[in-house]
Amino acid sequence: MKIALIDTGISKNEINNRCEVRHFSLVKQKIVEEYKDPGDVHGTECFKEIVSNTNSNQIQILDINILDESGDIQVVSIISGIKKSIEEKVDIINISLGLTAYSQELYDVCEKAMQNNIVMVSAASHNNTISFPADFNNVICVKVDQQQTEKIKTVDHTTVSIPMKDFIIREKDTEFDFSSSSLACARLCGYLCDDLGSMPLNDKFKILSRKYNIKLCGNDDMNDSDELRQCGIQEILLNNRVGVVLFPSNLLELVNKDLMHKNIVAYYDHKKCEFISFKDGLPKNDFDVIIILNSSYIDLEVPETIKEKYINYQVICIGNFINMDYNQYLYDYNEFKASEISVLKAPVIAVTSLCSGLNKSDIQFSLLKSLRQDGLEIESVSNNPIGILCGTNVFNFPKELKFPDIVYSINRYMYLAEMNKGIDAWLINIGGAIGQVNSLNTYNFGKLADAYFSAANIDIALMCVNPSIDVDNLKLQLAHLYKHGIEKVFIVLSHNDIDPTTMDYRDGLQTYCIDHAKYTAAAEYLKNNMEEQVFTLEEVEEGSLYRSVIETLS
Amino acid sequence: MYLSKIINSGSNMYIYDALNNSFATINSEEDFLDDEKYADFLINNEFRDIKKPCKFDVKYSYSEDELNNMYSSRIKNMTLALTEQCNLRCKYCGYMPKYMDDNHSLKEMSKEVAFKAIDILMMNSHESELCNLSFYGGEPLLKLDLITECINYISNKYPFRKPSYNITTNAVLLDDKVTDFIIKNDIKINISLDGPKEQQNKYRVDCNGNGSYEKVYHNIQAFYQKDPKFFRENVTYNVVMFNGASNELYESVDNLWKSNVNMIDLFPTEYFMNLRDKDDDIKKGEKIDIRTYDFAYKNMLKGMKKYYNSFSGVACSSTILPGGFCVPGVRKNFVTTDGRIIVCEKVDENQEVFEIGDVYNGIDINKIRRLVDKTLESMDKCKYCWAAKFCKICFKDILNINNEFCEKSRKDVERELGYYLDHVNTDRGLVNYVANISLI
Repeated sequence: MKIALIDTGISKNEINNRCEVRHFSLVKQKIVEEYKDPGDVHGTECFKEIVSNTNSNQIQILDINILDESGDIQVVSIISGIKKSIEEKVDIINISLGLTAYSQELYDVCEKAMQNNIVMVSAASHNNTISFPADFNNVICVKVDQQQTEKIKTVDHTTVSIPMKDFIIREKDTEFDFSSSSLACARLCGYLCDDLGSMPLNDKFKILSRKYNIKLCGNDDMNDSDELRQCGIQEILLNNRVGVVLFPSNLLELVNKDLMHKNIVAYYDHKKCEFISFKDGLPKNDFDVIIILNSSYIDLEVPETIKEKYINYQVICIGNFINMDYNQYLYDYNEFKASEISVLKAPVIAVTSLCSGLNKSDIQFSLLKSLRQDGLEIESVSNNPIGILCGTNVFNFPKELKFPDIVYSINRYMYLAEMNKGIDAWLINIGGAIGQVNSLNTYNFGKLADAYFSAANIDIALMCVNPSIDVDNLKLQLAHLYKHGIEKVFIVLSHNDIDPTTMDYRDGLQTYCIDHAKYTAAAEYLKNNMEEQVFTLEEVEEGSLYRSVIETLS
Repeated sequence: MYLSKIINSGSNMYIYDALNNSFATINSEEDFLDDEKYADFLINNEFRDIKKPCKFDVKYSYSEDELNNMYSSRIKNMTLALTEQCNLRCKYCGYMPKYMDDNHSLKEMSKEVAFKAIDILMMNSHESELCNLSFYGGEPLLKLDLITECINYISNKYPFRKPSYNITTNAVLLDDKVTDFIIKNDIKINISLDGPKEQQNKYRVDCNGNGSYEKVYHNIQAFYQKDPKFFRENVTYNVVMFNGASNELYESVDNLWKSNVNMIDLFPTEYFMNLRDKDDDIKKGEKIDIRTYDFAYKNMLKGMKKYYNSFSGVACSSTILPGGFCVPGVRKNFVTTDGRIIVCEKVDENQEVFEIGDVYNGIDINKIRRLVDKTLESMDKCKYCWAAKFCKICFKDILNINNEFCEKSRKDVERELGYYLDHVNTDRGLVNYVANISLI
């Protein structure tokens, strides 16, 4: 068995005649057969894990050290490592590392390895998000499940889990928290040497399929239709006249009437306690459907008696409600399935934030209006139900984000939309936030943003921040955006700040509108301390942000 | 030492720096007496020179513009005192002097006042995550008709909205008909219950001095049997610890089928202190292992949250507002029978400073300013207090901040902080648990 270990290098001192090792390293961006001292212990520990978990004494390891001169790992280096492994006709490629950004070239070279009867194993993301190549459908993704009793457990057709505890490696006086999925991957590699090693001519993928129900596939067999269906709410708006009841009740002030869907004819005036026509401001009841929209992420309760009171209308509640769930009328990420990432063409503008309640929808609508006025075909996407008022495609905010599926789903949706519509640009308001803002949202809050970053190449990110944002924290979060390959970030300062008295609220923290003096001071402070362009809401309204966006895109 | 304190938890000794919100373990207090040792300590621990004078800057966080904005969109609650009348005469009740005064006529809330208070809540809560209407008394179930009218008023005038409802009751009138109404309207119930029969009957008595336990217990049991799930999710208890904490009380409370328990420290009214049973103090000093009682242990860990927040926060500032003040006019608004809005139900409603508006004109920013100014004035000495950040002071205390209050508060903070540093801060499981507690 010949195994390629594409990693940070194996230390010669640690081999101890355990097996034959050939050393390769990156020299001037090419893989050559030459030993280079490893940059850290990662590669060596993976090596030890492989050889100590196989009974075969007929193994040869190709140590492919892909660290570049500055000690970094680039996607091109991984690709070169795989190409070298194919050239060397290895049986298994072990890649206990990964990248969050999708690369078609990386996918293609993995495909080529598979066609050459080479099994690739790769470590799953440590953050439970996405990692390539592990999350490609032609690579075995290795996770850790500390609870499982089985040696190898099949999670799905391309994923297995291994029981393994995290542990610390000491090198001299320094301790490294060695992530376990890396070692789990190497351990699986060791096991597979035994499973696949006896008869080298066998189709390794058939053995994997029979023994572990692992079915790697190169061709996407799930994308049977290229049609993009409308979601339920779009069909209702197309075929009915609608009155809307909005929560919060001041929501209407945020929506530009020019953008309003033509079949939304009336709104409920919470003060007058009746439906009012958008057209003439007079009471109006001649519509067929009442849509109750809750735009906040707090669950609302509406009286059970609504249906009796409005018996002549179809009543639909969209958003977070305790006792009603009509969110099947919205788009659902799970509807869109794929097993590979498609290349998207239209530029993507993403609106994101560090907390909820920071005017993301205001900014989206302001830009949307300007872009449409310029005659551009903008595909607008949001998780905020208010989007349905002005022709935005609204996705139900997922209760649980499953990676990598969510990434493929988003990409698939965008691909289908591009195939079926003429789109000049995407304007996406991503629900949730980039990072943790209090102790109660340590997990799901912000993961959707990660999924979008992996699913689409985002050209411009508009980062909405609260006035008391800590600049160091903001820089850290922006680094997160840049790491995902986002080239341009504009900061938009919200009028709302986090109310510290709500830090321990069960429903998450709340914001409140700060006064003008504090807002002006915060804007000045941010402008003086951030390299990125900072916009106030007034500047957004006046068109400065729009002009900068257009300038960047063109 | 300035804005700092040596915390002796029994097992360990710490020095806590309130200004920088940091702490270090020390061997003995003597480390601070010897100049050389003290200098070494400062260098080794990168500690502030706590012998150098300093003080907090005490400031109110919200401007009037911000508060006005909240009053137009983020009001969260109205608590309606439907009546001053009550069917019990609990001896520690703040209304007892009124009940004893034959010349005082006990007032009732009119429908007009109730509806106006409701309108303020409903019209000004459109951005609030919470919209709550509480019925309070006296005994609010004496005014079940008005409660029904309020709920119907909301249902008719605001057909698309459903606030959450609460009733705080002594449970004497909690009969079959009432519990049907409560379940139908999804109302949360807060029952005042002081524990086992002997404790409940001691001070929670009717006009003739008869204990209320039998009636109350029977009603609670019947309510539970009618719908255990509803009961578990919607019934909480208020327990007044007139005799302090005891194993007997904790055991009986812990065994209740309930969603939560609020243990309330006795507010010692003059009336009550004169007739209080002198034997009440007899159990003082009884050792209680709080971990034995699930509800008490959870309550205690809730109290640890502010320490966790403080030490895990990103930054600290010398500008603070001591204590745990809520935003007046937002979270709690106590509406008296005659329509005055008081900052919360726990304060003395007869003190003018606590009045923040009325149902006819809404929240009055001038009255809010008066309250805030008085609060800041009364907290002047907090600038020099090492315990200010963790003090439990709130509006109900601002007229009573004397040395006794401050000493007790500092003792409480010292004990809690010691517990946090000894037991929570070093236990990863507990840190996780405390981090995930939501207080509201």
